Amino acid sequence: MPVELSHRSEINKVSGADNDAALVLSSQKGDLAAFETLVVRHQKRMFNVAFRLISDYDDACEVVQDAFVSAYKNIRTFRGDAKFTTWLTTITLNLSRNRLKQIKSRQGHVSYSLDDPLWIDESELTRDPPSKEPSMLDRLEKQDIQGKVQDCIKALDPEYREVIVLRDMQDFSYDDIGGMLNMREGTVKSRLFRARAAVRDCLRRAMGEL
Amino acid sequence: MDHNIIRHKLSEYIDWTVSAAEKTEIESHLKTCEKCSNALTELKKTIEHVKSVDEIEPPAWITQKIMAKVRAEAEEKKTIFQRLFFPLAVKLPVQVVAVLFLTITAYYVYQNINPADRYAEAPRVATAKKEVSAPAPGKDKGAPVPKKDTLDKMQSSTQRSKQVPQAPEYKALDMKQEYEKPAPPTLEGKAATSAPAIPAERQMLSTKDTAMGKQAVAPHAPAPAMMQEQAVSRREESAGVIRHRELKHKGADAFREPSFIDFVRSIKAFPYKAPSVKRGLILKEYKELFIGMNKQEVIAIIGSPDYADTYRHKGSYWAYVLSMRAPKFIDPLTDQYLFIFFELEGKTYWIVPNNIQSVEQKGKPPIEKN
Repeated sequence: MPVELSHRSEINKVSGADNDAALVLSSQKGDLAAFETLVVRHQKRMFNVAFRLISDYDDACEVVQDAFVSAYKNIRTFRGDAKFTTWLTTITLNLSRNRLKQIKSRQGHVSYSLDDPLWIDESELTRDPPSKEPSMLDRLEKQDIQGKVQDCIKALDPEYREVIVLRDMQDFSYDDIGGMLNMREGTVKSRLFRARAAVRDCLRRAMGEL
Repeated sequence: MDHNIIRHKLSEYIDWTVSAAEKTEIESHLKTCEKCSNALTELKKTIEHVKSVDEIEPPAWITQKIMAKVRAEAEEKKTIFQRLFFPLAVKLPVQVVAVLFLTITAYYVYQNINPADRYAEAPRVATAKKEVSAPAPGKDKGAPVPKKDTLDKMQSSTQRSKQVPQAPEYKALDMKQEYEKPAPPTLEGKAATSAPAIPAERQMLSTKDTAMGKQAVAPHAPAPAMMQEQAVSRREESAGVIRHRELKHKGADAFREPSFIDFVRSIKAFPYKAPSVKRGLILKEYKELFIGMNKQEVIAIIGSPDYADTYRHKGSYWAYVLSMRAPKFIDPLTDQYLFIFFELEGKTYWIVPNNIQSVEQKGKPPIEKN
């Protein structure tokens, strides 16, 4: 009894490997127009991956830009063993991780200022969720749930956040995720189980009941 | 199956990644176990909630910004590519020049290796000549005409020198023969008789040394002009006499004084030890050096210096190195050498041996004026 796939999988089908292959080949020969098509096709997904991992709109924007530039630089090394999406997501993942580290150290530096108010552990969790999503303004009720889900995902450790974002938000297969995170399928499964359980507990606490 | 194991498997069960056997087992368990079936429902709802989170629209300008960066990257890539491969028309001549430079350097290094060999060759010539002239006084009383074998020896040595024209000291021998030509063979024997043995030897040595001063020192000098001159002199072997005379007129200034670096570069390995002939010559002839001599006279006695340098802006000094431990500098504690200081007019005023036993310094160091 699988959970029904959301509308997202439709997008994924459109940007399938078959369509990408030809564009990648042209890009490898230096065709910038072909690469632009790839950018248009994948930017939203990569942006969402980055945003869910970093939870910061501006940082996610920068990470996506860097990811595509890096992809362009290394497009010749892409052999087509994996899907282009998987490859691109791996780049975005790595850049997001780096960005997270930077943010962490940035916050660390700020907290050392003597003039600042005391920095308590919880403050990181209670930071305002990003407010720029236009769709979130539409339905307040949905926004409430979505905001809570976002908070719960944000509260996860990065390694659990990664698997749940990739699997449940981006619909990547266990195999793909294993490839991206460089881990065996068994590890992906157990990590995903823990991540889902943690989100479940978090939502239960936030909403009273599921 | 245990409840715990079942609950662990539920996540995979939802994703359809359990095996067929596990699936049957889980489903049959769920029918009987309410807790586990509730857990499944909760997990499903959680996943649904996560999936229900809307995708966020990236800013509209992001495509443009990405492509601007990519274009900049592409441009940069191109320039790097061009820098590496494009200007082949420029790079090839540069490479050719580099190869030529290396060849010339190699030739120069080869030239620098030779002086040691030349020093090593020198004694044989000197001894051969000694054999020719030294016994003469004794034998002369009975026979005014030099013995045939003596002449043969001289001739053979002349021939040998012609066969090996590269070594300048042989040329020097040649020259000596030329100088003595005007005198008939009989007189030559007499001349050798009347002159004491040592001066004869001295004459030879000085001739050899002067020649060496001009020819053998040249390799020290890296100037292309010097090398060219050498090449020319090699070609004009037959005209060697004329050449020698020209050089003699020019005196000691005719050769470029080698620098310390020239000298160090000419040494193949450290610690350096001067060839025994050079060493012997300097030790033996040191007593002949006097204050007030000019450079030409010094060369005539102990040969040309290993290197020369200016001294406190008011003169220069010549160095004859007998031993040197390390290439960086001359170490007064360990190295053996002889310094000869010249005043601006080119006369020696101070001769200082260092670490050389049984010889004393001559002259005085300059008096410092504040």
